[in-house]
Amino acid sequence: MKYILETRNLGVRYGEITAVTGLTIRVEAGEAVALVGANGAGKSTLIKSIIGLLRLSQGELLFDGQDVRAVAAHLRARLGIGYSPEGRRVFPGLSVRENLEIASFAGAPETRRLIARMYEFFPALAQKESALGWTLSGGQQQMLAVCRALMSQPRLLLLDEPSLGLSPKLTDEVLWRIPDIAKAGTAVILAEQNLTKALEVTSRAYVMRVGSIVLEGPSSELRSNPSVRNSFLGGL
Amino acid sequence: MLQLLVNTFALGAAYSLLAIGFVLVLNATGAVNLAHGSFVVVGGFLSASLGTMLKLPGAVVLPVVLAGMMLVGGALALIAYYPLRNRSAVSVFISTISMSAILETSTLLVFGPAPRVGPPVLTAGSVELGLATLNVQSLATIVLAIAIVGAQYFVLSRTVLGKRLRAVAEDREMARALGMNVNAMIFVTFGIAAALAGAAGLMFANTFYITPGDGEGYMIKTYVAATMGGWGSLRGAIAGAFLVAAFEVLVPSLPLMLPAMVDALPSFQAAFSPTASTIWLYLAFLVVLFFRPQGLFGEAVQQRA
Repeated sequence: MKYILETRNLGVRYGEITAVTGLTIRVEAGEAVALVGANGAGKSTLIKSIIGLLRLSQGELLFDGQDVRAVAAHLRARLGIGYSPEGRRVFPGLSVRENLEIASFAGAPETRRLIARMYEFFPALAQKESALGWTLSGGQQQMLAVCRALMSQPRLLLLDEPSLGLSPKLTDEVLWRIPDIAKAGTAVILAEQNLTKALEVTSRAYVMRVGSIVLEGPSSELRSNPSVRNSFLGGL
Repeated sequence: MLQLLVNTFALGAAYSLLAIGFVLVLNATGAVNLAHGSFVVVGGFLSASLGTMLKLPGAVVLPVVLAGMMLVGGALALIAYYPLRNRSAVSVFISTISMSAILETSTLLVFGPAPRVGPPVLTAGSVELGLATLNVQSLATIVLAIAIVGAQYFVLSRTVLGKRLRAVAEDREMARALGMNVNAMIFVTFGIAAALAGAAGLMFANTFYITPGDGEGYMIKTYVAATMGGWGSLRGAIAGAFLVAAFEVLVPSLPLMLPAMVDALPSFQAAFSPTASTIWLYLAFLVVLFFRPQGLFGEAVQQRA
């Protein structure tokens, strides 16, 4: 079986402190996988090490079968990893359209076509096309961050806490796009504290606790597994 | 009177080129480039020698100066910024001071200590405009500086490269995670900054003259313009540049403009002499810092200082 992403015994250290250790996850092409766990469980650390913003202290990292440990972050993005960070981090002084444009590495006509598709995806963005990033609401910024990550037509999309700070309605609006994104061929890793929602929109999930994976399985099964909730409550 | 305003405007336009480049690098790297004033010297000498050799006006020599200065800027980034990019801002501060000394001493070795005069942007001489006689160099400087600032604005706001340069300036890590080659972008930024400063050097080399030790003075004025306008703001940098120019041209002209004051108060002339006006400039600078530490245009989306 060939995976779009595979980590083997992955570990990351911040100086002396071990943030995550022994993480082995596998994601198939076009699959939506949740990474759930309490605040501080190591979800963001794993995500950042996959895109290349953090260096591995141990283990292996394969993207589409290729060892990418030595590949610079910007080249990993070009290989087909899209990243929507925690806190959204849209470029505040760039307009919605500009935020999208700069993340596309296709030609101008293809970029225009992609932007039009993003506007269909989240019509709220189309109305704000020329508004600067910092003027957008939290929900609009999150939609923009997701679309920006999709502009490079990635084969793997990393979503870090997209529901953070959003109302339940807006959270739904963003998270319910995930099955569509996966169906279109882009695998998704969704890091979320919002357990219920995350398990609703993914097919499989890994449960993290203090830097390790403590459970994994189909999302539908984990939803009814009481120890999942316990590991959340006991997480901190 | 009109000539005075034109001179102020011309000087402010040339200072704007300097200040914009300084702020572009500041935003892209978070680093203060203290070799920026030396770009003026190198650009000035480059245009003076090209002008003498080719006997061509500055506007024709300009593209060569811009291209050469982009290389100088890229080289400076490679030597003084790139190896230190993950260190504290102070390291870059110091490395650019060293580069400034290297650039100016090299200029001294190659061209000698004698002041040089660069080619005029178009021609020397003046034109009659109604009652006023206006200096062609001042007018041409204004037109050229506006054209260059316009081109720079076009690049930053309309081209994908320019938009990416802005993105890198706002959030380097995010830009990298989205596939942008941040280091290459920073080299380009240094190149553009050096080219803008080189163009200013071309203008100054004719309006005044240029010696290898002039970098420091231009550096301080650039710094003052960028700080007065608002650290990190491009519009502010332009406003600051015009303020500096106003103090240099208009303040020393006050005794000339107000002869009645000179009659009533004999010390008026001395208080607003060209030398004394330097004091007024820096006093004004202190007043701005005191009452508006964020600068005149400081509210823009900026966080780095």
